[in-house]
Amino acid sequence: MMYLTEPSLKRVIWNQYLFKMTALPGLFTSLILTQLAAFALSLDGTGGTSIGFDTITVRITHFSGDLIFYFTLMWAYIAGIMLTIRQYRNADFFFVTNRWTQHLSTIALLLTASLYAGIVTPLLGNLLRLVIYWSHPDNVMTAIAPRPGELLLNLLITTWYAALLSCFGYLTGMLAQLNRVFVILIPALIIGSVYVQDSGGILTAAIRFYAGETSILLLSVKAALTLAIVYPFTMLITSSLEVRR
Amino acid sequence: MNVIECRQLSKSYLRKRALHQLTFSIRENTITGVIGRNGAGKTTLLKIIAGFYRPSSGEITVFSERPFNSMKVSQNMIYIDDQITLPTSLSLLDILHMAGRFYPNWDHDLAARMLDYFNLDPLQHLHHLSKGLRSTFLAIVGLAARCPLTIFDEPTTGMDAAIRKDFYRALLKEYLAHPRTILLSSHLLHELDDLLEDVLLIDRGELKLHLPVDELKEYAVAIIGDRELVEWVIASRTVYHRQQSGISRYAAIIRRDEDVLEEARQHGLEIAPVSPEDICVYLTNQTKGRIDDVFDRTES
Repeated sequence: MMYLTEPSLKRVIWNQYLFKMTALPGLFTSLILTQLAAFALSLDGTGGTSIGFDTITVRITHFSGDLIFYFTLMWAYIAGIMLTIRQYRNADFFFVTNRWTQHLSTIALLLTASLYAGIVTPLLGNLLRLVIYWSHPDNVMTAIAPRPGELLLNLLITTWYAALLSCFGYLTGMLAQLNRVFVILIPALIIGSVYVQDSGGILTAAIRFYAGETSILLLSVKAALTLAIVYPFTMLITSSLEVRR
Repeated sequence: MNVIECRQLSKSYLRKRALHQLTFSIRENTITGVIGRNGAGKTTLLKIIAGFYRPSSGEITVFSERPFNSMKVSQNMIYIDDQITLPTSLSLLDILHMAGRFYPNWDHDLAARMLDYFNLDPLQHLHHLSKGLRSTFLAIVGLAARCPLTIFDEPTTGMDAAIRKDFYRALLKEYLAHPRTILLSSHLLHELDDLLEDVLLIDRGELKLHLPVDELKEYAVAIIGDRELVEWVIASRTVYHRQQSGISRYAAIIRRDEDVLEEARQHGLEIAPVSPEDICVYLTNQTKGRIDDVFDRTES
C-alpha cells in the first residue's frame, strides 16, 4: 500500500531552489566571463581629453568601473530571459513543482544572482583602480581609495539594479513564451523608445525614475515595489502556461 | 478507490481535435496500458493526467484534485518520457540525488543497484547516453521514485529486446513489492499482455475500449473457412477485419457472439481466438483499405 504524501510548499520551493543552484552553474560563470570582458575593456580608460599648451600637453583619462556595471546589468537582463526558456521550465517539472513554486524558486535564484553581482561588481571596480594605479606609476592619480561606505553603497545599488533588470528579463521571456509576437515587439519597443528624442520614451522615463534617484533609501523602496508588482504580474499571466510540450 | 476520474474530457489545439469526450476511471493499484496508434492522443491524455496540460472541456480529477497546478498530484506522481532535457551539468548520480530530495518514497539503493546492473556509469551525463540507455536510466528513476501514480509514456523507446524484458520484469517486481497505480503507454500491446491488468484503447482521440486484459482475450473471434459461407454466417454483424489467405481460406474477425459461434460450428467453420494485440490493431485501423491498395491501382 502506497500512502499519499502531503506536500509542503516551503520544502518544494527550497528543493527547487537547490536544484537550480546546482544545475545552473552557468548562470554564475557567465557573469564572471562578462565582467572579465568588461574589465579588460576598461583598462584603456572609459573616456579622456587632451589639453595642449605651448610645450606641455595634459592628457586626462577617466578610468571607472562603469563599464563593468553596465555589462553586469546586461547580464542580469539576459539571465532573467534565459530562465524562462522551455527546456529549463520542463526540467523543473521533471521533479515536484507547480507553476507557483516554479516561479518562486526561480525568483529566489535571480535574487541570489543579483546579490552575487552586487558583491562582485564593486570589488572588481576597486581591483580596476588598483591595477591602473600599479600600471601607470608615473601619472597623477585622483580618487584611488574608496570613500568610507562607498563599497556598501555600491553593493546595494548594483544588487537593486541587477534585481530590477533580471525581473524585467524574466517578464520579457515569459511574455515571449506566451506569444511569439513579443519576441519582435519588445526589442522594437525598447529600440524605438531610444530614438524618441523628447522625453516621452518609456525607457527614458524608466531610467529617470530609477537612476535619477539620489537617495539609496528611496531607490530601495522604488525597486522593491517594482519587484513586488512585476513578479506577481508575471506569475498571473503565465498561470495557465502548459509545460513539457 | 479510483485514482483517476475523467468525465467528457476533451482537448483541442488550434485546429486539431486531440481528445474527444473521454469518460473513464482508473482504480488504485492497477497497471493500465494506454494503447493507441501514433497520434491517437495517448501523450495528450497522459500529460493532462500529470497536470502539464489543461483540458479544453470536461472534468478530470487525480487523487480527487484537478491535476493542473496541483501540488499534491505533482508530489505523488512521476511522468517518464524520452523528451525530457535535464540541465547538462548534472551527472546521472546528481539526478538521482535530486529525485531523492523531491520524492518522499525514493529508494536510492534500488536506483543505484539498477544503475549498476545496466552498466550505467553514475558519473556519466544524460545527454551523452544513447537513446536506449537514456530510456533505461529514466525508467530507473520512474521505478525508484515509488510514486503512488507512475506514468510511463512509451518508456521502452530505443531499448533493445533484452533491456526491454528486464524493464518489464523490474516493473512487475516493483509493483508487487510496492503496489502503485501505473499507466504505461505504447502503440502496441506486444510483449505487454502478461504485464498489464487493464487496457485503455484510444483511437483518433476517442476511447475505443477500457477492459481487463483477460476480457480482451475473449473479446473477438476469427471465423475461418470458405468465403461465401463465412460471409453468410456473420451476416449483419460488425466485422473488424476480413482477410483472404489462400484460395479457400477466408477469415473474418467479429465480436464474440455465442449464436454466431454455434452456427459456424454447425457449418464446420473453423473458429480461432484473436490475440488482444490483434484486436487493438483491428479496432484502430484507420487506413483506407490496405497498404497493398496504394501500390495496386488496377484492382478495385
